[in-house]
Amino acid sequence: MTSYFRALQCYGANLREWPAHLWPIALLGMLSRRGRAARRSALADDAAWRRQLQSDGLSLAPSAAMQQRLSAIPGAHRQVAPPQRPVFLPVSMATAAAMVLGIAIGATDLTSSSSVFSDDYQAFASLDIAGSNDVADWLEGE
Amino acid sequence: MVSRDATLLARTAEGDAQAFQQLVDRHSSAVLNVIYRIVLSRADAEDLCQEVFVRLWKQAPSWQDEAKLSTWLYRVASNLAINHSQRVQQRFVVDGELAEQLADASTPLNDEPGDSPALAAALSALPEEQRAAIAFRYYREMPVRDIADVLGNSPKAVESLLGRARRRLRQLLGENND
Repeated sequence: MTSYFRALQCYGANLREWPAHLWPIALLGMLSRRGRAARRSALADDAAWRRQLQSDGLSLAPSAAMQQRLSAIPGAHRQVAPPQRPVFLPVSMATAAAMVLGIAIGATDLTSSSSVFSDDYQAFASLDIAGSNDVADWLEGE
Repeated sequence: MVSRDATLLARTAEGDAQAFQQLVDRHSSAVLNVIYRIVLSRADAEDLCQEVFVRLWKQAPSWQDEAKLSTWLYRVASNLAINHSQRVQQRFVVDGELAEQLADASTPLNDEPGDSPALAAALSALPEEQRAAIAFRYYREMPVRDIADVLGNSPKAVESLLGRARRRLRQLLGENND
């Protein structure tokens, strides 16, 4: 019942204005005497406010000058062209294209630089990274 | 089913001034009244109403809004009106002398025929957002859900706005009646 009263407070007394998922709650609420009384009270309150606020009877109509200004809008203002959408590849297509391109470049580079690679490997292998040759030289000197 | 508004809007998007004029005829009065209930000045309401339709004309070709045209118009109208009222109020705070002139210019409810001064004074004492909620609920008779769409709030937030507005109005009108 609490959610019925909450919904009544939130969406107003006109049950047709309630979201469809709340209709079962509305139905349950209407089955109880307290629920019906709360709805009647909310309806009366809503009507009273409407009467009071509309009591000035004021309803403005656009003046002649304003109508002229409104009619002049198409001549005075340029319409904004819809923005051109940039061409986006779908993610899967972009990924596939990148993979194909990557494989193609990689394969070309490997075949063209395989000898250089092996030379570099030899040079690398002859490096005395740990400095063991230096230590040996120093010991010999001692 | 394609609504009449949607058809007219599609023609407006192609630059059809007559279709635009029909949209103006169908909606200008409602938009003007809503804005008036927020800014409480006929001159300002007419300027802002014109701005709403200028935006409609300009943006018609790139219209992608899923919302109904009336919802879009009310949304733009209420945003413009609330911003305008807030700007006027800021100037009111900054410059006292200017404020008096602005207040004179923006309390024209009394100038309108059949208007109740007490109600007008009470409404002008409300914050702009509450005035907007009141305008949609009690003058346009819109459901809370639709008002929430227009104001970009949840229905609960709108009901809270309306509740606070009613309490304040009750208080102000009660004071006036005493």
